[in-house]
Amino acid sequence: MRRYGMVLRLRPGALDEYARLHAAVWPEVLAAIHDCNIANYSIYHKDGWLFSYFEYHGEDFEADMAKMAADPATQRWWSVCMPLQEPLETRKPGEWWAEMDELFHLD
Amino acid sequence: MNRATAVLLVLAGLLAVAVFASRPAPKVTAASAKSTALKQCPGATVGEPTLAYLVTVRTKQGTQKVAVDTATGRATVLQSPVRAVRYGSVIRLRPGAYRRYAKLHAAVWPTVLAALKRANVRNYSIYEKDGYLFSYLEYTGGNYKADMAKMAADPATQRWWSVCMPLQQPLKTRKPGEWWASMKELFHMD
Repeated sequence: MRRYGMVLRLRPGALDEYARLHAAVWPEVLAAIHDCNIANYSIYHKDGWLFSYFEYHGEDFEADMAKMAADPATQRWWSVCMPLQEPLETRKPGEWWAEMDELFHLD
Repeated sequence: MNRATAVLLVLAGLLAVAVFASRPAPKVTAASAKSTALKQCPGATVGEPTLAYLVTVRTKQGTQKVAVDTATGRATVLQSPVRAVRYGSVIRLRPGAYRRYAKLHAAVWPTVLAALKRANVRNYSIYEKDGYLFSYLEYTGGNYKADMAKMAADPATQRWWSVCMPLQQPLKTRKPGEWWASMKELFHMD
């Protein structure tokens, strides 16, 4: 299992809509996440910052992310969520959510 | 038992068969297991020796261990689920403090780790990007405030904080009494 911490910003005024959407994520989107070997996935918010934490249980993260990106329901979901988000300028090429460095972990 | 749990049990059962088939003969015999069990629980009734698969099931309430009897298929819950409450927090690093903070956290003092365990904190991670620190942890105790107070009273933890806190810059928008600012959980999927 590998843990991931990710960060991006919410656009000003987008919190209510983003929170409303994420209080009832579409079941087909949840199914796609599950099928891509992601578990224990949380998103937190403070002052316009969004942090996500999840655990990846598969063997090939890039392949699973490509599978998720090819899923039509996920594409519709992203088309609703992405306009509410503002990715960091310092993100790596190809990233939307910027991957963070894990400095510490205790099981 | 819902369908997803049942499917999980079957899959885990098949895995257990594979693992079982490949392992060496057990040192514990049915008779010695019976004698050990009776020492632990005098007067207990011990059934005929059967094979059971030990299956770990993740539920909304936490992790649960279930024994499935190979002969009858009957499932017995061995361990009550541990309920975990998740916490996400954020703080800033002072400019230039990254390397020192990363070095410290690559080898956190064992006494500090022990205090965290005693305070019922598990699966605790700290992430960094652009001077922001994000922490995620799971709390499995029954009284978070009391456990945090216990940790704050621990001398090793106090020394640790006296080293780490000067490297951190708390958010102005944090709540009264907070150092790391608590974040709001907008989404969770098990």
